[in-house]
Amino acid sequence: MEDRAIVALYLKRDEDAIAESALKYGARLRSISQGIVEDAPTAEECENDTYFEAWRRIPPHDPSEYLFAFLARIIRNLSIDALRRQNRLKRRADVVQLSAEMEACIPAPDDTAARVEALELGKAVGRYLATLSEEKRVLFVRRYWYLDSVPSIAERMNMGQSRVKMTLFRVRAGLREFLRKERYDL
Amino acid sequence: MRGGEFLNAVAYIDPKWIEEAESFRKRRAPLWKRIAARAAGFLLAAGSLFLLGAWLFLPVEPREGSARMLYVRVEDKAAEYRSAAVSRFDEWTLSARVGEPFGSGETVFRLKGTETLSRLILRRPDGSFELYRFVRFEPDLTEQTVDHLIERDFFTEEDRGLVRLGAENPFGDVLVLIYNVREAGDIVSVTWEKAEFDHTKIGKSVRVPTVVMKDAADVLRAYGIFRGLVSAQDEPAPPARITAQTPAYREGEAPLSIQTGRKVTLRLKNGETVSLEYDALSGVFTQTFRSLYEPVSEEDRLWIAETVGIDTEWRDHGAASQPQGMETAPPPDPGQPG
Repeated sequence: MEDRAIVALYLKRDEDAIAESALKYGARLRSISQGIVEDAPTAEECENDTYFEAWRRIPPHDPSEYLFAFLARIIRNLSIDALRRQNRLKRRADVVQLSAEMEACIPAPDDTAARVEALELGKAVGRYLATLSEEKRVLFVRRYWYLDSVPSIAERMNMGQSRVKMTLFRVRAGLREFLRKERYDL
Repeated sequence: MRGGEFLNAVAYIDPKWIEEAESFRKRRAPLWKRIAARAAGFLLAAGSLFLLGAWLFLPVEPREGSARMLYVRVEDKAAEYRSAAVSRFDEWTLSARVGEPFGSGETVFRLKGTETLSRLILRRPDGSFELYRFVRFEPDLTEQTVDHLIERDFFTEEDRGLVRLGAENPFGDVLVLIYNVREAGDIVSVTWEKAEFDHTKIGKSVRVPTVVMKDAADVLRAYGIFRGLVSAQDEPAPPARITAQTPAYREGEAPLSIQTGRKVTLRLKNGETVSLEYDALSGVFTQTFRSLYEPVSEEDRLWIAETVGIDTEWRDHGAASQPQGMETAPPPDPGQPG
């Protein structure tokens, strides 16, 4: 079923919307969650919660043009929250690594007063991503949005892990410079 | 902002990037494309290696104007020759493999030698060869001495222990060693033609037939003659050049050189040519008009004259200031009055 039709079901408050969402995107959503929580039951739980969260948000949101991204964002956040609840977030080495990578990209003094809304920053990052090639952009998103591991990305992108790491390093350096030019005080 | 918070912020990137990253999978090229790409790469590498090897190792003709003389010091003997062309690789590695350049790097090399060789072959800029045999080699040969040796066409034992090539058959060795002529069949033809270029009226008037030997029997006979050429032992005077001004001609004693001389060109199967000059009166083959070889046998001299059509008799082609070329009676006896 087309995304527009599925979203229409959400808007009509037809519960078939959830079934259709699960049918079309369930496996992919579970895969995203599984990559984060590394636990199948938790991933299933996150998937389930995603559909209800989507039911709650549509309307007012109308993700007819980007339903998958809309659902993926929900399950991503739910999965990270699940890790926090289980006090496993800080023990996830790769998430810690990811955090460290991003901190190196956007160094912030501990005593910086200014705060930036996550949404605004996300938009800024999006503007930066628009300047990248498709391959680099996908690398970045797979790593920092989907929280994929480097080996997983290498396999998906059919490239060596060294190349993945080097490309991510350069993209982060570019993001740092981009945000500096946009004068984000962090 | 801590990294974890930033990860949350990343969540709010444009959904289209999330969709893009979800659907993007970089596919491996089809097997046939990968095989074709690797085959093309292999061919390119192989081709490049082949070209490089050819450029490095195929013989390169010596540049115009450069003489190539190589000699070898083996204890107290000098020996070795050099083929007419060596590859770039040989040139580059010459000093490392065989010795160091001596004098001008392009003309003279001091080589490491073997004990079995005892000859020197000098290739002059005009392509002709001079052949020498060292019996003793001075280790401190100076550049001036080498230049002196190159200038001269022979040297005696007084010349720092160097003597000219002796009883062996050096020109035969030149054919074999330089041109890889090992049998008569390697010679396509032997051309006998006018040796001199004479702009004078008399010179132009002398008719000299050009004879191209292609008959196998003739080529075989000529090949035998060439192989039998031996260096003259003593310091012979080169065949005198007889012109219309020469008293020997005016007095009816000797025919014009333009009449009896021939330029001899061997055309080889391998495409190369070898040139000599021949004086039919003396039966002497030379290179660049210097006497290098002992005269051929009388039998061979007569065979050459008959086969090639060389007139060795005095003919009156006129005096330098007179109209030409008719056969006349010999000039009057200078002792007679009037």
